[in-house]
Amino acid sequence: MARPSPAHPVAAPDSPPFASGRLLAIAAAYLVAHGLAEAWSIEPGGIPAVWPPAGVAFAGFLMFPRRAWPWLAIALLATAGGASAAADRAWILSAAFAASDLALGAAGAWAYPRIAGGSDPLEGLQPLAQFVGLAVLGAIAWGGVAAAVAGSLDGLPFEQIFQLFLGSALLGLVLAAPLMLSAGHVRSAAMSRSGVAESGIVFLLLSVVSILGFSEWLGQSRLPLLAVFTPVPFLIWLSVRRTALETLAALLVVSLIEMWSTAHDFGPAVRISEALPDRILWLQVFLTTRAGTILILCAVVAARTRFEQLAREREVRLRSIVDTIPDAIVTIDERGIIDAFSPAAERLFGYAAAEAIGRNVKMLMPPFDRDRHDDHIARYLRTGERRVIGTGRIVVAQRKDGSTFPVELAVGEAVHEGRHAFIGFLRDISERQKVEQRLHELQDDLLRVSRLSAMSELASALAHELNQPLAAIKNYGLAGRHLLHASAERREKVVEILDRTIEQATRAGEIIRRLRSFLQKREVETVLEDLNKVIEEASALALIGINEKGIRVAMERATDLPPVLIDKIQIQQVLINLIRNAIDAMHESPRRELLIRSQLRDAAVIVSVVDSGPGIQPSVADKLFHPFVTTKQGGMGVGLSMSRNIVEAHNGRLWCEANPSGGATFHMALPAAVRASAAAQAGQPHDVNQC
Amino acid sequence: MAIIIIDDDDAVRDSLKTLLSLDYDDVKDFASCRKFLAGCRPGKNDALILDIHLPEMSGFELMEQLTARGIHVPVILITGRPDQRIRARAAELGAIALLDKPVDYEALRFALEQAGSEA
Repeated sequence: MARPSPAHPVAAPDSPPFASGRLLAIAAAYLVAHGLAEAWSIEPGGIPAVWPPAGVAFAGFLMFPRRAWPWLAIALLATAGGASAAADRAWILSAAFAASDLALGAAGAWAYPRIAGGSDPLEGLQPLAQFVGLAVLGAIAWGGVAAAVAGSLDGLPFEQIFQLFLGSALLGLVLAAPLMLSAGHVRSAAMSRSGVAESGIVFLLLSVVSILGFSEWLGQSRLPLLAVFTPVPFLIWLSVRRTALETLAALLVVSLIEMWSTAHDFGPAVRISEALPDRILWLQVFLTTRAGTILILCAVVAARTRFEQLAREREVRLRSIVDTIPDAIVTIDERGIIDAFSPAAERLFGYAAAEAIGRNVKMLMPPFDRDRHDDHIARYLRTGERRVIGTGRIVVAQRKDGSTFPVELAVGEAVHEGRHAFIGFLRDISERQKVEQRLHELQDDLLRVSRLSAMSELASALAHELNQPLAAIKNYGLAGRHLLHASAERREKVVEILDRTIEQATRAGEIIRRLRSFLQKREVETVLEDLNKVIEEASALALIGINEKGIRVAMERATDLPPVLIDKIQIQQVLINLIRNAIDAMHESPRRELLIRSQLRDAAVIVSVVDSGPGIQPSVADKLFHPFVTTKQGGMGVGLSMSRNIVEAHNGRLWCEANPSGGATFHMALPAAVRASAAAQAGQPHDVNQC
Repeated sequence: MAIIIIDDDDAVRDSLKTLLSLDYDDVKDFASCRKFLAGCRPGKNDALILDIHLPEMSGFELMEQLTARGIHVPVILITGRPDQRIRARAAELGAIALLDKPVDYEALRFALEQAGSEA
């Protein structure tokens, strides 16, 4: 149902200054209010028990933008003039009423939004209190002016006249203004048929009860106050079940019936007091008490409804978030009982939410984790010791069909009134693990390709290398055969020649063995290795054919290196790469010197390959380690990027720098597997090998 | 007639020397061109079996050096990776033969005979 909403101010700033329809409606309301007040004003002197025009004026000014106020004032004054002409009241008093209405309306409409921050008194208890406070002040002013102008009416003292006028202005404000403002706020919301029927029945009952009660139809002279209370349940019904507008309209109807009966000498106020001023006062007390009660109720209901709407809105939004989030969301209480199970969780685990809610979250875990979960919660609640809360980690989860899968679990916590709730976000990472595995395979493949491409570079050098022992074997073989035909003492030499032949055949076999182990596709295995030995073996391959290129090679090896945990073949691949690069770089250099050095620095073993080539061009330096960047003719440009991948997979670092004397140095740092002795760290001796 | 072998691979050099020693009386060997230049003055009647791919000074460089010093000696070149450029260069420098590794002994004998007859 349409409720006043602060987001829809009555007077939108862009509404036309002269909204004639609305202006007419307010003028008509003002006229009706006048008529009612006059019709049932009670003698002597026509003091109205209720003066609704004041409330209509206040609401009218509040509903109109400031620019239109002059028009409104003119319309109201004209209406008041017409209405007063019909009333048998002193013209000066009528003029005072009209002037006070306008002044009160304008001043109130100026002040109220500034105090309350809105234009609807029924938004909540605070705006209502602010409205009532302002109404009391306005009524005092209104009553003061009216009483002063009226002077002494029929010999009544000033205080009594003032009291009565104050009461009528206050009642006029609380009865008319909220009703009109509610009417102004009503948006054309669809009203259900049953709702309208309900309102109609309540209105009918309320009217019947009120008329019967106030007219003393039942002759209840012994229970004069019955009529004051009988309408209240119906008003409460409307305020709780229906809209504020309907409630306030019903309140007005009841009030009018009471005023009418009192004016015609029936009803509770008449029974309580025969004296006229007191009778009016009692009437005002009854009306005010009822109106106050109902207004408070309306404000409370409005605030409550707004809160519920907000909560529902939040709930809807939260639900859509929960439903949309790809992570499964499962919330549990302190005992581990599931109280929410998101659609993603249904998909992930295969349980319907209805199946899961109310059961212990242990059902989502494999058996070996179940027993410990209660302990985890209990320990956390007791000691605050956190295991997963706020951090998240990877755990194993179990589906309804019993299959298990890895999930990334993040747990949040909500504490409300001392009770903990835990919110778990679960993400299936079996796909991710598969992808990672595939990546590893790809990397392995790439490594092999890269090894093969390094191989093709090595191939011609290897062919030459193999040629040497083969040539020697052939020569020895020829010599041996020759000697077998010679004299006995020369034949002795054959044994020696055969020994040398075997030695050369072994040498050839060794080359082939190294080649094969280098080419093999294999699983990665990390083992504690002595890096010096690894360097030695890698150099043996990388330095093949080095002599004929006229390169001087020096090795500097730290003697007391701690072992490193590495995959030997991969690290050798890196070293071969670096060394071949260095050799290639010095192809056209006048000075060709290669230094391979191992050393220990800050718990890292560093291997450096130093060349005396042209160094690295600045244009390439930045992206040297990117794949497919190469300075070599016919190079693929994967060597260094692969090398860096390998080294980083070993938690190491690969970088290069320029030498002061020209050329480049590539450093590979690998973490030492055990802490090196202090002695080894402090300037260890080098054994310098020249080859 | 002295036969002088220059090759940096110990096994190749030693096996060739062993083999040639069966047929020739005077076979000398050197591991590098520098050592050869320092320790030997060959004559027209000698023959040089020279590996092209040598560290520091290649076989071709040695031939240039010998020509520059006015030393004339027949040269049989040996290479592990024969190609067009090497053949052209060998012919240009006046080598008697260019043999592939592993050396065919009969071809080597033939080349040595040529060297002797030229002398």
